[in-house]
Amino acid sequence: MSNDKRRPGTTPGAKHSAQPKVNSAGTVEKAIGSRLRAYYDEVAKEPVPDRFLDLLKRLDRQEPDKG
Amino acid sequence: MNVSQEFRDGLLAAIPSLRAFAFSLIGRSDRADDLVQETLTKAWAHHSSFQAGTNLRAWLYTILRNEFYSQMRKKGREVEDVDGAYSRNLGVHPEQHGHVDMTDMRTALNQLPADQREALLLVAASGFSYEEAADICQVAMGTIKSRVNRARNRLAEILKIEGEGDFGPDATVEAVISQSAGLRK
Repeated sequence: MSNDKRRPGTTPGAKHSAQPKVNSAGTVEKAIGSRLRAYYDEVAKEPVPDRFLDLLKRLDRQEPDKG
Repeated sequence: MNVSQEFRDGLLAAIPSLRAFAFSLIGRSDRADDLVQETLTKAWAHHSSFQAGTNLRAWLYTILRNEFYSQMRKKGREVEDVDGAYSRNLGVHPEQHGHVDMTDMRTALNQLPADQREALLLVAASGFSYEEAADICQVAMGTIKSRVNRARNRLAEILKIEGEGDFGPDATVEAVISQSAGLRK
């Protein structure tokens, strides 16, 4: 069932999503991947909270004028 | 040497992703955002050690990750203990995003060892390559791959997502399983 038979080189980069594979590991991978990304995106899609915009402004103001 | 506009823009652009990663590691939004704030402050202070044109996001994640573990060490806690406390608190501090799915995933992630959890998040959620994740975690790429595999399999067990082993190789059945796993209440 669950197995560790990932061959090196068959998962190129794994950016954003592994391509669907026709085996049980691929099915699991796809299901996990989409749920994980959905969970992750719940936060990632939020607009940047003010505290961070304020922080960047504060840090910016501390910059010396000369380079 | 002043911070470049490119650097500033890069920091701003990375915030949503950093927040998501911090949230996935820590579980409580206020603490997670504190960690991101620390990260940004440190990144700014050390901007001259960042080489323009290289992978800013990976650099930021490295800072965040190091800061996370450093804070855990200062508190004298095992990362797993902290996560256990958070998952026990789930009843008291409900996930602010509200879905049952979120809580399931949160609980499931908390049951992974920290190194597997972070490897999985970096590769499967943050979109880093195995090589990038290996650099961030400062381990070999093979180590990351094996952690990701173990994490996925463990998560699948916890969330009861089955592969073809139980249901046969039929593509339609597999599609239904994946779909119902995603819709699981």
